[in-house]
Amino acid sequence: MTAILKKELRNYFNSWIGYVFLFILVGLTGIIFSLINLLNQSTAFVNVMSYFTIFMLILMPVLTMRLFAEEARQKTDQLIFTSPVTVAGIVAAKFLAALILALIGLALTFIFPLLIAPYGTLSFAPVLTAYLGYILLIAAFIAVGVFISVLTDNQIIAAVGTFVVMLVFYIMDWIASGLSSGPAASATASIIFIAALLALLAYLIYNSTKNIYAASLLPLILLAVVVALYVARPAVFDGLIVKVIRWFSIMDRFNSFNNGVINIADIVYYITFTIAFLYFSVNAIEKRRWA
Amino acid sequence: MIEVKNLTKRYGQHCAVDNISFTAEDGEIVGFLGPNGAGKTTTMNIVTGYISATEGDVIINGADILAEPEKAKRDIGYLPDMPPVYGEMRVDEYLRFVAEIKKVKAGQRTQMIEDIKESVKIADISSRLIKNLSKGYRQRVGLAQAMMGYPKAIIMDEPTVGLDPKQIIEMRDLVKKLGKKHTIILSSHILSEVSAVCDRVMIISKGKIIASDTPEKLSSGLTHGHQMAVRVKGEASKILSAIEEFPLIKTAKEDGSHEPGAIDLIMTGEEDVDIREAIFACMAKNNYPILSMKSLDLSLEEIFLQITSGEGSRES
Repeated sequence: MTAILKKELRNYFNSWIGYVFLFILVGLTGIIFSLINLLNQSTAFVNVMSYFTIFMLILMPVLTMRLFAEEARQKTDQLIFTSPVTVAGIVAAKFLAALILALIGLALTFIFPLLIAPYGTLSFAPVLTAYLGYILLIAAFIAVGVFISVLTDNQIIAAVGTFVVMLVFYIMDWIASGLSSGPAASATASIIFIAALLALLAYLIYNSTKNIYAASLLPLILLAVVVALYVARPAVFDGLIVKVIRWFSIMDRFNSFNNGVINIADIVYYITFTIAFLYFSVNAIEKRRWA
Repeated sequence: MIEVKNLTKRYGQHCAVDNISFTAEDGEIVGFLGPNGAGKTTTMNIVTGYISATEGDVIINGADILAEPEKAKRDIGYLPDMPPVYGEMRVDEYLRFVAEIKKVKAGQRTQMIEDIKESVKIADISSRLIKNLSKGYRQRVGLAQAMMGYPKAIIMDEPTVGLDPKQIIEMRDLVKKLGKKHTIILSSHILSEVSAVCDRVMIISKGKIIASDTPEKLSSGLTHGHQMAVRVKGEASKILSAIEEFPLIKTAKEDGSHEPGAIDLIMTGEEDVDIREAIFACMAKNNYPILSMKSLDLSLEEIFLQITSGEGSRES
């Protein structure tokens, strides 16, 4: 596992990707820092940090795109998957490599608050919680990127796919607030939404078992439960779609870190999100080898 | 030792490997022979644990590749059809990475890398970028990768494809040398190559092993001396009429004249009938000197046709 971690890190700095990433991140932060802090004579570095999300949205796919896609294209996956290393170890090593590079970038941006700290009253607490938040957010983004990179052997598709998925997570908040009133918030819409999810579940079960009875039985039972619940207590279903989307929203939870609040539930959410996508990656690799 | 039991791999309806069983003993060189799409690569990919089988077991030195993948994979080196090398790495850097990922002990790495570079003759390109290497060198770097950690079994998928004749001979010598210490499975679609290096040949067609024997037995069982290329000194028409007196020689076809005063003939007898003596008797009786006579080597394709027709199917 350390062999792959070392190899990936070395690769970032042997190719242009590592330097370009650090240069762009630090350079853009410097520009925003000059505009917000220096020219306005403000010490609110947290305002600068709120731009990190956009930077990461663009830069993270570049870090993760080649992790697995390039191995598949060069057929070097035949070396790593026939070596005495577990798939989970390989995924973890590649995830950590990208995370370490991203953390180096974050660490470099910490120079900016240190630069202005002697000349004014800079409150470090919100800056530090925001950094903690970004570490968690970046880990989640990288996990998504690793997963998408597993799915394709084309780096460009991996990068664009990762960007699109992250963008969807990013704007989920807006989607949720757009849906919170109007027909989508009604209980009927919720039932349709659940039915659609169950249809998807049925398809997934059928796809993996090829058993039409198993595929139809479980979703039908669940649907019956939902309908019974709807008849008994329709209020449960009010605004359900919005609740679900809100729950998945990666940015909604992030804002509390930017405000200097550390919420254990949010930390657990991000770590779970990250582990879930790494787990999907391992499974996707195993599934492809079993197919 | 590699044991493969009832291996089957299905892709949907298509059966790529169909119930294959074999064992490769320690120090044995086993060759897979078969046309493209016969299932050679799929079998190798399963044996090395790169993909999994639909059914069946692969046991490497007592360790099942599915139950104890890490233990089993320690004993395997794999050179796939495309050497799994990173273009952006230098040769030394790559071999060091391979040594680490194959869990070679830190103290032994440098020495092992040097030894392996020596034996595959890549010591002089140590510091070059792999993407700038020729196909032959890349193949050797790939082989060095497969040898790393001196696994008990080395599996090679068409190791000589794309090499020039000198490199092919070197590669064969290397494989023979490796075969003394390691179990080797290699695949090829070239008969002469397999017979030159392998102790045992398995002919694979449509995912099945249809013949398994030593190369000598396999080819002697298939070349019956019933088709001969003969160069005889004399006049074509007279020779041909002389042959007619010998019913054992069913057909004689002129194959041009490649030497002044002599003609080349391709003579065929009944299948399973050796016509060599008849040819000699015929020419001796009429005093036509035979300048050369050789059995026409069966191409892989013909051997295939023969073996598969023996099994009752002639489609391949």
